[in-house]
Amino acid sequence: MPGIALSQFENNLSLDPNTLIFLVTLPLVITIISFAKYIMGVKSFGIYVPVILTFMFYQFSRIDGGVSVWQGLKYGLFITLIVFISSYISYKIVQPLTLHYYSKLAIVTTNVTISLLVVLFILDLMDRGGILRVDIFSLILLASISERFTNLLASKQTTTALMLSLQTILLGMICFLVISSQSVQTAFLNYPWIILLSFPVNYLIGRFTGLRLSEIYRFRELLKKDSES
Amino acid sequence: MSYLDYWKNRKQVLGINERNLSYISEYNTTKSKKIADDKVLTKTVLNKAEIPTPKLITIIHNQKELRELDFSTLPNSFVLKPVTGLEGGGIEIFYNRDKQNNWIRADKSKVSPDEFYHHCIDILNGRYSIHQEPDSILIEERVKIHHEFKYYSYKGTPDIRVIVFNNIPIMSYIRLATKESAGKANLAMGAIGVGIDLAKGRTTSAIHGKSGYIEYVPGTKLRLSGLRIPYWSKMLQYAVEAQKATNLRFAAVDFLLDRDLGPLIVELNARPGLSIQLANDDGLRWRLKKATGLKVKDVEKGVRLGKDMFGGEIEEGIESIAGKDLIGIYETVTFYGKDDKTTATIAKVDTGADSTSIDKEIARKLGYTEVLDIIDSGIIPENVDYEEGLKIVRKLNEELTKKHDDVYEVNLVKSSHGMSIRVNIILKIKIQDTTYETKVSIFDRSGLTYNAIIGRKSLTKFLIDPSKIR
Repeated sequence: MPGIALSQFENNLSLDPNTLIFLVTLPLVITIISFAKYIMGVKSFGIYVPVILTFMFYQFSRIDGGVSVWQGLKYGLFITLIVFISSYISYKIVQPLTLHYYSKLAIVTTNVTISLLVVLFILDLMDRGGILRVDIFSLILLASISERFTNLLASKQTTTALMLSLQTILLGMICFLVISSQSVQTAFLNYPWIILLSFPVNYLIGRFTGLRLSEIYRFRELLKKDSES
Repeated sequence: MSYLDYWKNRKQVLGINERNLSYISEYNTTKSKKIADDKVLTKTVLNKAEIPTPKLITIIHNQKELRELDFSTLPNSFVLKPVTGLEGGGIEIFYNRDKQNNWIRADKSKVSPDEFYHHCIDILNGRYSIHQEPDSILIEERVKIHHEFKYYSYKGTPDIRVIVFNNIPIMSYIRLATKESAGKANLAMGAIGVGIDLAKGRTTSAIHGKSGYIEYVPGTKLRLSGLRIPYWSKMLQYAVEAQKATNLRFAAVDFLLDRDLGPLIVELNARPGLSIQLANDDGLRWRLKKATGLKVKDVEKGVRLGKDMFGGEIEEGIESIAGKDLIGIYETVTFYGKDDKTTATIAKVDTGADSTSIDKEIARKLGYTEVLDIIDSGIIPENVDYEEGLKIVRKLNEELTKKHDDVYEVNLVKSSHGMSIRVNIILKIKIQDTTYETKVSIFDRSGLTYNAIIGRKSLTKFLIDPSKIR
């Protein structure tokens, strides 16, 4: 099937090449997330949040004529931290108030939006325009992550919520590093059929019943014991 | 410890992947999971099978019912739960209410009627629901803590979980609330999980929070192991019956033990957590494998099988006492005195006596003349009554222990002829091959059959066989 290498279409299609790259590598990103969960035991907020973070890091890394991994990480982490910190602080403020849960959520999200606006405005004044290239869509997605985060803060203990967030951000970063690699992009554009590998690989991960890496650590004392029967 | 052992042992431990794929999906039908996820449905099904649960007060299905509910009809003490709640989220336990109609929690914090109303709205909106969907509120009677657990659990009632598979009890543990867990029996919040030996219903090893092993109730000298769980066999029976009634073939059955009503099932869980393995210091996997495919005719048989196959603590019990020497009722005891003086005599091993005592003659042979002089000096009265004795002992104790290095303690003992005052020294003694130091009192035993008796406090290192007479 070499005849359908997507890279050949790149110049002829009106499709944004970055959109194309993101689309063809999406199965890879999701496979990495599922591998991290079932084999390594990484806990993240579902599949949705790390995918969005990956996407956002990628958006930030775009520069004229290519990608800058460093810029992606720098701006991506910066914005993510603003979202998390502002959600955390605003949730802690509204937590003791006697309000309906969705109302608390709406207040938190409003605060996150305001924080993002203020930061972007300040950066614009300081002439650090690079970060402003982010499109409105990823900002909205990002603000919606704060909903998931707030939900977590409301239902779990703070330390658990923070640990989960940290793992989610790390996972997003790793996925971003993988898909922004030049060789991965070339491979996926030239041989798009490798997407099909997702089926057997995910089938195998899906049938895995062994201990996760995190469980080997959690049960290490039990595993040290002499085996019975 | 090699990596190979890790590799072999991993076969004993159940992980989340295997729990989900091989047990939950395999054995629990959607219908049965629905029963477990809905506390009202659980209650209905269990009550129909005549399995006791806490008494229902009322159910609030929606905001209209909440508005129409007359709060003054509620008792002063009750439990409020989201019907499809997860991991104890949203549960409130009220112990009383004050004159302003505030509800009072275990930690004395108050919940105003306004806060109470909003909490109810939150639950109805599905904030604690397993599927984040609109939910109902269950209000039931509060379970009163059983006196057996009073000093073990901080405020809240401990929660006993039995994992049942294929109608056989597989593993069990009790969760004790701590100050850290705010009176909630939730391990993630810092409660204590203590494994229970299935055969005997006694606690074994314990973990604090999600990891760390622990021996005592924090801040006390109460040992976590060896605690007897009341109604143990009854509980296992209800657990298996609950499994039969709901058709959940792999389930965790959670009990609370009421002071008056005994074991009550508060919740069924179709997705049991895995920390129970740490609390029991044993894996679930081999147990589940062993229970798979067995034909279990009735409830009694299931309970019997669980106790026999997984109540493995008996062997360990013998191991822990196996290091002790076996002694008889009469033993030759060697005493080690001052300046390498030793003497041996046949002593009576007397578990009826609290402590060890020797005749003055033995003390003399060992070189404790100074102590004997005190005893003979007449400052110690022969027979005293309790009140008077206490006073004298207090005075002598201070005087003599300060002045004489050999005197360890002066105490009051109950003897055949009322209360007596005894002078104690610390002596090295040897019984069979065991040499150790122990507290010994000296008095005139010349009229008695044995010039030394070995009491309970000196016998902790031995097992006593009454049929063994020298």
